[in-house]
Amino acid sequence: MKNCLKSTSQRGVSLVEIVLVISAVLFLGLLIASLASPIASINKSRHTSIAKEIASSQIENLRKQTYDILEGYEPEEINFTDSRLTSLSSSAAFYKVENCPIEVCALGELAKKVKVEVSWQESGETKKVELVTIISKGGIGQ
Amino acid sequence: MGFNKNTDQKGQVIIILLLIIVVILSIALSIASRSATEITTSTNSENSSRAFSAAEAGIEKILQQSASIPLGDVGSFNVPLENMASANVIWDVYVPRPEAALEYPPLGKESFAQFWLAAPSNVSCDADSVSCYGGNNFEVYFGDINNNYSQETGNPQDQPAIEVHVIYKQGNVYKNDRFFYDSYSVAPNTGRGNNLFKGCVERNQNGIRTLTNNNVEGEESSFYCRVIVPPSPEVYNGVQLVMARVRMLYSDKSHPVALKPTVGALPVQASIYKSTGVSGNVQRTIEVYREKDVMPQFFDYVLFTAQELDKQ
Repeated sequence: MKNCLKSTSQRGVSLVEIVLVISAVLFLGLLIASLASPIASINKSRHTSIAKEIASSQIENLRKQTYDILEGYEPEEINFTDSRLTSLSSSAAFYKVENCPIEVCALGELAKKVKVEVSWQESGETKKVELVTIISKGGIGQ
Repeated sequence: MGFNKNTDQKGQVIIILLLIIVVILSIALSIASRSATEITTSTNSENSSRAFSAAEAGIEKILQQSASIPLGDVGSFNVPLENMASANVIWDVYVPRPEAALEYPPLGKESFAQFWLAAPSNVSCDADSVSCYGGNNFEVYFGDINNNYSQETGNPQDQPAIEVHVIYKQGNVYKNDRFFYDSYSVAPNTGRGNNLFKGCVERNQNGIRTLTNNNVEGEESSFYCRVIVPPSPEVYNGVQLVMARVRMLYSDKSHPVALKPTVGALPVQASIYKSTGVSGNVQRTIEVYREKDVMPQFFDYVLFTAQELDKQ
């Protein structure tokens, strides 16, 4: 009797063990699959930061130019290049100089609205960072 | 004994599996938390750039308007921008406050500091003499205490000297004087190389503190050297001081400079414009200090005369 019991416990695998192993393997699979989403988010954040830096430095460059040169730029979208754009896939960058909108410059100030946009492709979608500011005659950096 | 060994081996598989799960779970959790931090940082950083650009837009607009805003005026406006950012600009602070010195940010040899002693809008002081400085002398503080000027261990050649160009009105005639001071020595000693500059009335490497409150009420600043202009106050008895312009000499470093009244207050002469850009939950503020009516750089070197000049 004693021998018989010993033999049974050696050969079989209990139902609890099987359930435990299957659920553990499933959990492992789910964990690995769900890692992809945070990694994609990290990449997107990094790309957004790069695009923001490119747009900010372009605004600083435009501020250093004289007002007369700025007036010559309007109203088309003008593409510009930056070495950091290579870090973004299918990237494009442009700035646009327009007359200051009436709701901002109601007193006829000598000022231009400047928009800088950097766009790129991310997981099949187009992402962009857009900065808008005002540059006036004799203002900051001129 | 053999049976026990066999049972132990079967249990190890579950333990190893659990260990692997724990390791992968830790990695996943750390990546997820890093991803959450990255997203927050990146969103804040983008909002911060938008808010800063909006704040700059507000400053650009107020700089355009500032010529038409009289000193002492109070106001505000809003600048809406299309990318979900906006700026609010206010101007309600004028300097210097009573009995405080007016401080300039550090300036080098290529620049100058101008201080009004008469009200900029009433230089002759005829209409409203109350707004003009009533003293016959004033103090000038200058020199950056963060430089080591020690003769043994530091760079004594960086000790600044200054030229103070004073414009004043005697009767109906405008006149000017120039005074020179060298922080290389303490009065009655003169400056370096027999330059005949006057020494400091007070000099301290640890700083001479004085009330400047350009931005914050009760704010004090520290300077290396204090001088009194003119050295003998009776020189300007019965005259109306109009303006003082200070230049740095000798030192290649930039140094702060401040002018303080010996009696009463200096006329109000500068405004502080504050522009706060907002995007999302991020705010960025820029403050611009603008002095009213500053004469150009070459003003100190121009000869003014009511008569014809004989150029021979």
